[in-house]
Amino acid sequence: MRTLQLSPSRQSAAAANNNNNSATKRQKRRSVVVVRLSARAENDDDGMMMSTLPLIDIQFEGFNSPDIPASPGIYAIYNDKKELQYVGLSRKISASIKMHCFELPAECGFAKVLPMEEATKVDLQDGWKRWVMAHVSESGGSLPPGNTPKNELWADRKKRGPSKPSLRLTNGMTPDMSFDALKPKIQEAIDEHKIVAFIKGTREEPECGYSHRVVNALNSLLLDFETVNVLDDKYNPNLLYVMKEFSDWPTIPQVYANKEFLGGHDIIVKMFEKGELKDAFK
Amino acid sequence: MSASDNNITSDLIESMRVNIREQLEAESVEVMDLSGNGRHVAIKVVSEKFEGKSAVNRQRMVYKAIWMELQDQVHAVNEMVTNTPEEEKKENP
Repeated sequence: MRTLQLSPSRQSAAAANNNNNSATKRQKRRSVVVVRLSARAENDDDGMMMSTLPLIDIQFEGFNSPDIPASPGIYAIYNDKKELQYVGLSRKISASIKMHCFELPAECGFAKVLPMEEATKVDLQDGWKRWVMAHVSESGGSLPPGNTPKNELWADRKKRGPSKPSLRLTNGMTPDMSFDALKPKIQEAIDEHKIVAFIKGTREEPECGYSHRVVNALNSLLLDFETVNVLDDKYNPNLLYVMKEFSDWPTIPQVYANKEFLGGHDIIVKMFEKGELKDAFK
Repeated sequence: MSASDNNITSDLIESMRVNIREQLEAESVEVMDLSGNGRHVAIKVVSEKFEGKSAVNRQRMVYKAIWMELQDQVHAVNEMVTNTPEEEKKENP
């Protein structure tokens, strides 16, 4: 019997990948450079600065690394083969990298970050340009794939679906509500709304990649749906645990349509990719 | 990861494999650790018990077999394939 066929990016994630490309070999021949975290990156140093910064593993939950700051600055994303995919600038590096990991998990293997605390917009743009040009020179004239003009996959997706507040199952005054008392409230939400997605976080600020991608799928079909934040212990006390019992399903996100459990991330995304998802909500 | 962490993870993966095989009377089970610490896994199961069951219910059967592991040790099942023996033959002739 053939072994599990994982997508190529998962195969290399599963096996430790220590490929050295020519850029890292070149890096090893350079002398050590002291990295100064200043607002204006020095002209000469930028190409070297980028190549001497350490790679931070951002696979799986790696985007939570303490080495990724919440400050403004510039960053580079590499796939799991350590090939540069994208150079970005951000007002909050940790938020941008987290969003890339949620949206494009297959492309996000490692990151390099250069915090620039006091940077103006011009400083950030200059720094970004220098990192991109450093890659262009090294690669013999190519932009990082994510930075090519037609590539919209990495752009900051401000164009999300219409914003809607999350459903709240209680009035927030009953933090000690028992599991059994919360269940009828879950049932009510499912009965009163055509599509309900129980997720970690909110549709604007998801807390996990799986929830984020389910919200993306529903948004891209232009569906009108409700969300419930299972991590909001004030309005939905212990919902994370109660939901697992209620649905007899151990993970979040969970999507209900027409009062029936439709599936979790895996099923929803597979249906979306096959073009079957819209029909499921009729 | 220390040697003892490695042992804990491989015990975890093995216990998931055994639980699934036993509870689903599976023809074959593969559990692959993706993240190196058991928190993200991929699972493939071939079992006659999937016959006539929807994708959701098949996944539910697998989840029930590994419910305890999912409570704290395994963070996510990133990929899950659930085939009947007939479906498996078609995919992998």
